[in-house]
Amino acid sequence: MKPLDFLDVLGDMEEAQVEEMLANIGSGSALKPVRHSVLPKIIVLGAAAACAAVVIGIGVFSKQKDMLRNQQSETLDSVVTEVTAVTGTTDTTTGLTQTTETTAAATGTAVTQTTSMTVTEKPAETGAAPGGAAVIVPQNGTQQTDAPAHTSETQSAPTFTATTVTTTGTAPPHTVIREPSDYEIGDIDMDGRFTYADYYCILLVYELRNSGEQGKALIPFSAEQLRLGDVNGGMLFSGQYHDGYLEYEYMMRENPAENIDWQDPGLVQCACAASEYTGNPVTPLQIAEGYAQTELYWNGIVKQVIQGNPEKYAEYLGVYYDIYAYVWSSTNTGKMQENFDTFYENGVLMYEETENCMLIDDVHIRRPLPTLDSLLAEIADMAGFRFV
Amino acid sequence: MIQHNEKQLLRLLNQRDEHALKALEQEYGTLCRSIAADILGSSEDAEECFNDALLRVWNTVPPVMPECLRAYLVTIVRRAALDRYRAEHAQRRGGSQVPDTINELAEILSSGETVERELDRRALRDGIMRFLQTLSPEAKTVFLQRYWMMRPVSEIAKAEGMGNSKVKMLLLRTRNRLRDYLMKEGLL
Repeated sequence: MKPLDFLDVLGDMEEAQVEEMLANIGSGSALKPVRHSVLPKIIVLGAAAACAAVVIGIGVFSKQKDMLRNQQSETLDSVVTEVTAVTGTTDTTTGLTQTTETTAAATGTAVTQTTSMTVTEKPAETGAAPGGAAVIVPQNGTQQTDAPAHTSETQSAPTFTATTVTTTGTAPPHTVIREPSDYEIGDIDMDGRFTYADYYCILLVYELRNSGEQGKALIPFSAEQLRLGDVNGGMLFSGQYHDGYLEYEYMMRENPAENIDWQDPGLVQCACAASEYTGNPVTPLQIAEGYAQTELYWNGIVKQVIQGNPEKYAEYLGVYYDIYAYVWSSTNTGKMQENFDTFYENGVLMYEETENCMLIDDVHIRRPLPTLDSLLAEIADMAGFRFV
Repeated sequence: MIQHNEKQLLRLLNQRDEHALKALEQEYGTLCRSIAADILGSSEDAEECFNDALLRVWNTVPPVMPECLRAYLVTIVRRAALDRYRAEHAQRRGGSQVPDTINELAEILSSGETVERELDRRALRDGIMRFLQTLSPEAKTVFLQRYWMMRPVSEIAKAEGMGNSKVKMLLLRTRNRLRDYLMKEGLL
């Protein structure tokens, strides 16, 4: 059938249907209002019992050079309530400053180890990231922040405590008028790196929430938190395409991590986040190393949650298995599909395929890869956000 | 400006009162011109098309007694615009949404065969109508605005309070579903 014929035949619609169509114009969903600013929060991983909601803060910084801070800290018994200004050595090539400090906790005798990463805008150079957004280039050999310290002898489930982080000193204004090219996202998967897995998480979480399937969205993002005109510290990153395609895809195609237990959600998270900005392919060993770092977090969580609250486990999985299923399903590896099915059959994963969840696949696989800026703007557009 | 409801308009038409045409233009002119312009890419052509449609309504009502006069009129406008587009295809001006919609649909409608026979056309129409019933209200309104009204994506997005990307994504998925549906029904 010719397309013009289709258009013709469509015109044979009955009057009542045409009238219904005309009457329904404008009844679609409205763009989410973006009026509120919300203090971003970061995840504080502890080693105590009980699992709390994980909230990740997102903020943006202006095109002018700003100092931002990304913190991951582990607390056994205390909660970090204030982020102190951190100064350290800045690598002028990468624009990355990394410091580590250990401070006594506010309560008890627990020790808090804080690793901070300060992001500054990289000087413009040939091949800079699209849109002039800050580029995060890890220092040589350093993929992740220092491994968090565990003073506990046993791997009891960590505590997840939402913490409000406030910035001081050079904190940007409360609300910043942003252009789409200034989008940045936070370290959603807590791997200390700023990758596309992070904003896939955001997108998926938002999409899940947007579709009304609130139960599957672990990270309680609100529409306001995703409004990237909001500057209140937190973790700000930008991703970067490498060699014309997403690095995690490169990794999956060229270096399948066959020796890794794909069922573990921590691994899923880790592998998703195994994008590389230096241009070196991520090897399975590196994935495993990354996995080892996240294992303590995620296995602990998973065990605790399974024992205490299976629905919560499904929620956790729901977030990451969305990525697992959709971002990776395009690679068509039977093993992944098998594992996905296993989890689904066991009733752990209360996951349903929805139109919204296909979004990732559509965005990445069916079209040429856009620039980061246009992709992020498009994601925001699809999520219903407006730049103010 | 006097507002007329459809009953009044039909009464005027039945009474062969020429004020009916003015009233139709007043009530539905903007909508009709917009549809025609999106198809033809020219406001002048759209105006001509609309005038032709008004004449056609005048000539057909009565005896035709449309249940929904607005729907009746816009359908005539649309058909007339598409026919005109076809006739002027080689010389079409820019601004028409038809080439874009054709390109979009070409992704799923790969056959170059024309729907010639009335039987095929009816079967296809019925199949499409059944398909439309499977859509969510949101997908349906977006789909129809794009392919029935030939509205630009940006206008649909604005009307529905969505971003352009969301509209495009909805359309993409709906087209894919349409393709699968038509294939399953043996209509493709």
